Amino acid sequence: MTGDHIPDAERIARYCKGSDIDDDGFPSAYAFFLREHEGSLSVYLFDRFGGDSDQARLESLRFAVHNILLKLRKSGVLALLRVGVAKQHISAATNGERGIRVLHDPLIEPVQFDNHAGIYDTAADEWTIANCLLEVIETALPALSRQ
Amino acid sequence: MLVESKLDPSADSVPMKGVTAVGSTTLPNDFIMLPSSGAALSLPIGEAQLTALPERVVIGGVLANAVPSRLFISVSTYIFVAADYLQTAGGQRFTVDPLTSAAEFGRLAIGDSDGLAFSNVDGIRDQAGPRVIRHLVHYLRTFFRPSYGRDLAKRIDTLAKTLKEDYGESAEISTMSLYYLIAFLETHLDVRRPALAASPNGCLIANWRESGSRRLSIEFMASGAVRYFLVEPNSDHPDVIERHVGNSTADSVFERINLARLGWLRE
Repeated sequence: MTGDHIPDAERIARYCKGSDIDDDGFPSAYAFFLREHEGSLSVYLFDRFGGDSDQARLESLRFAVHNILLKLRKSGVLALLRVGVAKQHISAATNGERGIRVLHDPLIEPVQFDNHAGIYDTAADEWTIANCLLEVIETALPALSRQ
Repeated sequence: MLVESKLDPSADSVPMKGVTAVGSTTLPNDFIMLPSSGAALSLPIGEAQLTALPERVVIGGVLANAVPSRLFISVSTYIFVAADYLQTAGGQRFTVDPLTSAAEFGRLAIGDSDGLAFSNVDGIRDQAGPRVIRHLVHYLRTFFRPSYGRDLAKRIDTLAKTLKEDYGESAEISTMSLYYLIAFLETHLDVRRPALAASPNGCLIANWRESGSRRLSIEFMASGAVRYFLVEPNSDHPDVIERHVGNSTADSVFERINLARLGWLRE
């Protein structure tokens, strides 16, 4: 339901644009800055996509998102973070001064899309929170197949 | 710095190799040359110093047979020479073709100098634009003193294309951000090559990492301001990770967070 907290154990995927990725292949802080028209950091609920492996879930996500919700590009990546780890890390790294919420945020337009959430409360200190989120990226998957 | 080209000094406007006859500004007054001895030779490049000889224009009043074997050209000076304008005592103005002039410059080895990288900022800002970006990339390939200049130039080219892909054709790398990054790296020559990303407005973010727990990110903004984020283990308690976040300027951030103490930042 909209506004529900996403369980700590779930993984979320943030699309990082190619220009966000440095030449070592790591996302930089701007990947976790609010983009135009974003009220919260848009993320996909990775574990809710169909498939019995991360590769299968990745392909399901690509199929559902690419050219429908977002134009994914080969230069971009999907950064996976675990909700609980991210929340705990932000709090710990800022000595409790900052906290984030990850809330269910289904999309209605352009299509009904349930596997979507938002990371909230990043705007007050984007540079710090974004850099801290970089520290808990579990893996970064190619947004599109590079073959 | 020396630019040589054929010139008929009697002509009002003289097209010649590397020099074409238009322009709108004069060169800065603090044009500086450094011979290999290391002694700085400051040569005002105002009207009096531009000497026209029958066969060549010599900038800086240095004749060909007196050219030091090694010359230093700072990034800021390069911008002016490559992108800009020569004005003779008689008021003639010339622009220098950047590629031709750079090829001529390229015959000269680069010497050593510190402290020039952050000069002439206002003038560069006045000229900032896509054209200057090309010159800066060319500078990286030809004059940039650290050995990774070509790699960095290639990365800037790639990043510029990716930025357009992400944000549309009008998106560009910020000239001033690149300038400040170059100036920073030339001022701190033992700092190793950073990995680069770009912000939506084209400012560059330089990242250095080491062994997972150490990372420095510096965003070079067009104003000369920077913001940084440093993660490193506490030197006395390695299991405690410290984070330093702050704002500074490109010419003082190194001292501000005492980057000299970070051995992993060096080559």
